[in-house]
Amino acid sequence: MIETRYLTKVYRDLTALDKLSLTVDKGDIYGFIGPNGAGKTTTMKILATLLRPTSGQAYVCGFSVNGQAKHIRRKIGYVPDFFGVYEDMTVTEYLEFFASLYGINGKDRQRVISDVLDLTDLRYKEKAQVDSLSRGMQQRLGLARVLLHDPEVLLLDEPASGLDPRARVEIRELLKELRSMGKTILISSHILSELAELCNKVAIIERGQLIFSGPVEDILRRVRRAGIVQIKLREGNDRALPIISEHSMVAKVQTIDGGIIEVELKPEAPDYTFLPALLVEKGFKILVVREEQVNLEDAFMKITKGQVA
Amino acid sequence: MIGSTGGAAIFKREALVHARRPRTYVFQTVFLAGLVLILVPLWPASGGGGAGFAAIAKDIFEYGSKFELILLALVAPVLTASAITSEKDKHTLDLLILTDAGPFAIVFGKLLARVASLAFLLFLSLPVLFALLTLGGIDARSIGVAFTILLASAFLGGSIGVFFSTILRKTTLAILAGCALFAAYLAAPAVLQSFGMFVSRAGAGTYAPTTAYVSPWYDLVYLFEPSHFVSRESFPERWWINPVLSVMAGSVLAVISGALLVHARGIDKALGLKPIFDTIDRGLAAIGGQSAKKRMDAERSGPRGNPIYWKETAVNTLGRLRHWWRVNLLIALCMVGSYAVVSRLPSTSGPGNLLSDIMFHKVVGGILAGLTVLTATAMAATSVAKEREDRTLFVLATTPVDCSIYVTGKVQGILRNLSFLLLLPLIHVTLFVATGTITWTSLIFVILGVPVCAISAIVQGTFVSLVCQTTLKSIMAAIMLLTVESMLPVCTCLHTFNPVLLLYYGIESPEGQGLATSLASGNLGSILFLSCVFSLLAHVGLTSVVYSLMRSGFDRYIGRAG
Repeated sequence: MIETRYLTKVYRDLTALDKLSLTVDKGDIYGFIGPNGAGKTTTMKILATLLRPTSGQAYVCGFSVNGQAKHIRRKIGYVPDFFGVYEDMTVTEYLEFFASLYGINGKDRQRVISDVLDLTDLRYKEKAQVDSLSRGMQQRLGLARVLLHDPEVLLLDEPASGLDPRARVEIRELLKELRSMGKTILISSHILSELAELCNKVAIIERGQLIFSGPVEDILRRVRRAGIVQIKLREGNDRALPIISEHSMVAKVQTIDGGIIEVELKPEAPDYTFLPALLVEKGFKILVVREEQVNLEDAFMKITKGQVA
Repeated sequence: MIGSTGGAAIFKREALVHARRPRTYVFQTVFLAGLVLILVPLWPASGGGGAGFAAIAKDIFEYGSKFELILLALVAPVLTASAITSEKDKHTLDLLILTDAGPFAIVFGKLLARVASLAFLLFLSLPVLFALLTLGGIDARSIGVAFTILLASAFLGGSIGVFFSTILRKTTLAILAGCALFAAYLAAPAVLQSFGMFVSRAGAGTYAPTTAYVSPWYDLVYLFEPSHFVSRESFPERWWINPVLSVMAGSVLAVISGALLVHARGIDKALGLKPIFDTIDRGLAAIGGQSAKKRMDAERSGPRGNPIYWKETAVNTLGRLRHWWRVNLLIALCMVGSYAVVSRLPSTSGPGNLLSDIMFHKVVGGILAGLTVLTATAMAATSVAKEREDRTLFVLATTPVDCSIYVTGKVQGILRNLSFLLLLPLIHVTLFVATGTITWTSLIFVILGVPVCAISAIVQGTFVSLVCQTTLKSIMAAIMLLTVESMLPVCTCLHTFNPVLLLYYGIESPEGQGLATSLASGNLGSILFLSCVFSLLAHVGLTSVVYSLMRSGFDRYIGRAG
């Protein structure tokens, strides 16, 4: 659905994108992660036909951004990170205006607007002035706008940026709804926990270069350290530490936040099943035994700091 | 003490920012180059003798000073209108108010810094004017007096800009309001006098008439032609009254601005155009009854044709005057009321009243055409730039909208919003064609000339607005372009290219020597007729060229890859 090949964008002395190649398949919810200035918005703008790449190719729905921009505009819906709304327009008028720009008129327009108002839960605001809406509602209105022409691909640049927790939850629920409708979505966000919940694939870019691209599970597996086990006991951490450390398969043991004992196994250890057996034998009551917990935020921090090869 | 220190800090910051902008120097260079370009062809090459040179020098000095005053009327409010509105836009006004500087120091710091840049511009022209001393006819004292009058006017113009910047939310509105007030201040006595409503006859003493006290324009006239006002040729004694009054009025406005600054947000909301237009709409809908209300609702049902046209006419601020035909009616009634007043005034050129004087109709036609074109330019110049500033153009760029839909919608929309102004000269001329004061052939130029010039102005304004990144730059560029075009009659054979002059020459009495006589005698080779027709064709050609430029770079201008 989306493919970039050696996509490069240079602004005078700054290389915003450096030979970026990635593929987004139909139905993917693709998370786009990177620090500020990494090149996420530049990529989105190129895909939305707002910027011309310096070199390389990008295809959306099989159309090239170089020369087939008109076709792409009818296939995509782009919500920028910050966008303005017209003054003196009601929500319905705003949607009517954009629907007519896409050539949707007459009864079709009324039906489509009614559908997107329901989908984005803006029905009760249909007569409100768009410039009086809260930021969260304006974002929902932005999503309603891009759904008018039923695009195959949605490009969402920081849709939850600057929103309060309730508005963020509402946007997340809306995106889940769109996912269930089979839309292909490329979404950038700084709220990585939400991306992990929404996306089936992620790409991490830094300084215009692709560092990782693939399923969310893959990146978590890649970042997770092998042989790290976390144990939570009901009591007796002080007594347990020397017992664990004396075991021949244990390299290192320490207590981390929340009274959790973190055990680093030696490379030759076949698994960690001996640890609960040992502790039960010594009379300890175990609440939790698990492999190290890693989330997308940890993965992002480690990868962008170059901690993972 | 703290206030004055804060004021100095604000002055310093403003002056530094101004000095760091390359456009400051570009503008100064363009201004000087323009002044030199005007002077060089007028400079006497040889012959004429001392008296001839002196007369030419006096003319150059007089028209140069008046040109500078007109330029000030445009530039001073534009330069200062963003002083406070830009702080409001960037949400930095509250931070400034919270400092120890105080509102008066903020206002005066900003005002003086911007007036200083205008004063510098005037200083730059001094060497050019002093060069005229070598020709005779003028003296250093006259140059000093003219300079003082202009400097005081710059201060007043700047204060007007800062005042509107304080009470209004949008820079564009502040610019338009500032330019309108300053232009009215300059022109009102002149217009009233030309209509004979303000009589200044030569008196026995050397005192100037009150027009020279209240208007810098007349103070300059008084300086150059004292015999126009007084019975003997002498250096005007009370030339200083107008500059003093200008500085006093400017200071009072600045103090009022300072006093209002802390309430700026509340005031601009209270003075916002939306509630005013809503009130007008409600009032007009009440006059029209239920059927009008239904029509009004029907108009809000969404776009049927060009969506850009719908947006321009149905939902933007000017478009909120949906009962435009009733507004036209109201304006026509106002016109008829004003005729009742003017009919009591005597003609300046013969027997009868002023309504039977063809000069009155020529001036009115010219003013209405100029007003229409100026308003069309301002509206078009702000239309796209404002969308860019509001980041709505960015969203529009992601849709399939193309150049023809966008520009056609804009032009049609602005024309519709301007329709009441477009109709004014037509109504006026039609009325007086019916009474036999104006020949029917004048209607040709009103019907063709005003719309053609307005469309040309809208297309040019839209182009400038597409190219310039901010509303302020766009308005300045469009007004400069309009000024250059209006100067075309001076330096080309296109005496009627300027819409003001087109109607001035186009409107004539049945006894006139121009178009009507040419047509009646079959002499179509009349220079005037050809000039008018050629001017209209030149406008059409210019519009086509500008439109093709817009079409070729449209995607780039609205910020998409194409």
